[in-house]
Amino acid sequence: MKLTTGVILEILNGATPEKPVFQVINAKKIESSNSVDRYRLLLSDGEYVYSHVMLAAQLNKVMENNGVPNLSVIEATRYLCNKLQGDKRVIILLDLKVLALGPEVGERLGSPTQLNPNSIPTAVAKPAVDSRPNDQKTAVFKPQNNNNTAMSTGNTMGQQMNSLGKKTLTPTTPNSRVHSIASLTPYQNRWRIRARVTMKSSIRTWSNSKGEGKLFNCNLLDDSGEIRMTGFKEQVDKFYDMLELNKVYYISRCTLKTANKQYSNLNNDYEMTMNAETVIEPCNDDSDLPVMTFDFVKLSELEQCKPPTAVDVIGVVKVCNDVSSVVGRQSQKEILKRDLQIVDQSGLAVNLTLWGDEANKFDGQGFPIVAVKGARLSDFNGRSLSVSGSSQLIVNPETKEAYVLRGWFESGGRNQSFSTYQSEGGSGGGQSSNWKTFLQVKSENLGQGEKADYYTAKGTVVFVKKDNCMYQACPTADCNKKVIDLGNGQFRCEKCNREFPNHKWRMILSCNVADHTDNQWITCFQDSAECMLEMKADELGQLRETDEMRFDQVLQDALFKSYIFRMRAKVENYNDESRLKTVCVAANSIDWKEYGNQLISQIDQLGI
Amino acid sequence: MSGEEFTKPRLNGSLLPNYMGRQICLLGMAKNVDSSGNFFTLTTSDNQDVRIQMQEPLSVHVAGLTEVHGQVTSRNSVQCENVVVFSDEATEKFDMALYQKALELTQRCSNHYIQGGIMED
Repeated sequence: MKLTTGVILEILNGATPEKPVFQVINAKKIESSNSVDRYRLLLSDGEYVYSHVMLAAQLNKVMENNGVPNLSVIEATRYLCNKLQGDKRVIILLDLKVLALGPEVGERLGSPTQLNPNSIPTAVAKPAVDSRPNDQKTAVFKPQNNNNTAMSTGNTMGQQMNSLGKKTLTPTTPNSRVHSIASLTPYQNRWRIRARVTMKSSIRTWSNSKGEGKLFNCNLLDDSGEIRMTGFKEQVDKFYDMLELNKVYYISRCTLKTANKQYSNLNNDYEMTMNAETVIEPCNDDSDLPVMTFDFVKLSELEQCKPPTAVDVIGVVKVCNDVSSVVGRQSQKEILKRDLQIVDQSGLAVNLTLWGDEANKFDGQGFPIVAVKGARLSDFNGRSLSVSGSSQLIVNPETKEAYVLRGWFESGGRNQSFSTYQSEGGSGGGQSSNWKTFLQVKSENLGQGEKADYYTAKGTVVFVKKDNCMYQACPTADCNKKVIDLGNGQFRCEKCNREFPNHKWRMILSCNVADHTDNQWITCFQDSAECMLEMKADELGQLRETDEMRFDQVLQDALFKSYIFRMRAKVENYNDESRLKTVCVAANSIDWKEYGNQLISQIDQLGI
Repeated sequence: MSGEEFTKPRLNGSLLPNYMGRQICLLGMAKNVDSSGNFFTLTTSDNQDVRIQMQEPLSVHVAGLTEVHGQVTSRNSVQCENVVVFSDEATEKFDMALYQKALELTQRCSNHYIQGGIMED
């Protein structure tokens, strides 16, 4: 009786030789409360003993009748090998024929060693037909003849060596089918893909209460779709340098899971994580794989996208601002950024922010075309884009869209005027731009929202209201409460509940300021009023009481001067009447250089 | 009567060839003043050197930011009729690049930037 030596390893590695012969070392009944009982076998092929072998339930009857006593030699007429989670492999016997009963055989054949199910050697995936040479099929050995068994083992070893020799010429699993990325699911575990790396992140580290580590991710692409692959810790060391952008690899044995759309913007419901079993091999033939696919969204269609999300965009860099830096909210580190304004045929201009090194190195000369895969879309200022960690920026890509865009831009697109997205409701304060004309202030209903709107405008003072432009206030440093003149040289502050022999002057100046589009009534408090009147409030208060002519002159002199106004607009309700109150936060004399550059950028945005 | 005779458009060096024989205005940085005061070189906002020919020797010290009114006599020379010299402080603070951008704009959108002269209808 001859066992098919080495066949267990073959089966575990994916081969399906016909009618392998095993010895059943042991059989154990596994009782199950919620399904049928199953038999688990300890199977030997003379070389290895494997414990993860199950008997199909329909064969239970055979076992119950003691049809396969221990040490029986069987032929597996039908069987299969399943991969379970954690890469465990189970051989399931579907049908078998008993060649010799246990008592007849009487001993273990060969000297098989226990095979560890968790570390199965990869080897010898031979085509099924070759697996059992004919002489073996016919050769019958006396079970007792150990020498012969040993001999046959040696023979099979020779074959193994042979196929190992062949193996070095081709990748490990050259004959196994290549799967498409689109076909991958967490429910299958034997697959291999051939894909191009279209994005590779830098190595990021984390450190939190659970510990620390590092990770990187990359995007893989084949002609069926894309998938994100993430590697942690050891896998970073193992594969980071090996994986190169735009190169093609055979990849197998990653763990698939549902994609976390918060971190990934790929068009795939799943993503994968490298594990200790992961195999990645370079593939030199990449001619048939797509380079990178884009699903470009027109800038005018960004309105329909719901931020935050990721989009593929392409546009001409119309405005390239200088690099500036911001301090990261979480990291408290300084981050470089550069704001671009990109335009396309849809007549819209959208802000695109580059960060870090990319911002630093970007060259905006000559209206370059930029394509961004997975740009982060936010609703800041209506709609804005950002090249995030999972985005890929390509300058002047060689794609059809880029050529069409270039053609459009050169043949008149550059002279087109572009509209921009506007933020709904209030924009955040503190931001120094948000330039508006007074007509825009009205047409865009600034100040009508929940929060106050801040804007910047260049305006000229056309009228200053003299009445009630200042008042006598409590002299306490932080109290600006109006005091009551008690008529005896004492001034009473209701808030501080005190009387003072003196008071200070506070300004509350109403002015009308105008630009070329419209005018606006504004209220200026102390600092901005002092700035516009070019006199301190206390000095002015004295003038008012002593020299009204000169006081009038000071107000007169304030007219027809221009300032850069920082305004806060908010609708306020007085006695069921709502009206827009505009407070001048600051009135700065015009820095002509800065204002000139501001005008230039506004004109650039007009696209003339 | 043509408005051209009354207009002194602001130019830079490379625009001079288009204004041959016309009255123009050039703003730039003066250098290489001739010892006799008969001519000097004006570096315009586009970094072109223009030879400024005086009708009579200079009576003021010419240096730094300088504006010249005169007639274009060749692609890189101007017959000067009037010189305005700005202070050192103005020279220091002047943003020549911004001025160049402004010039480019006035040229590109000339119908939006009408420079003096008589409007004819």
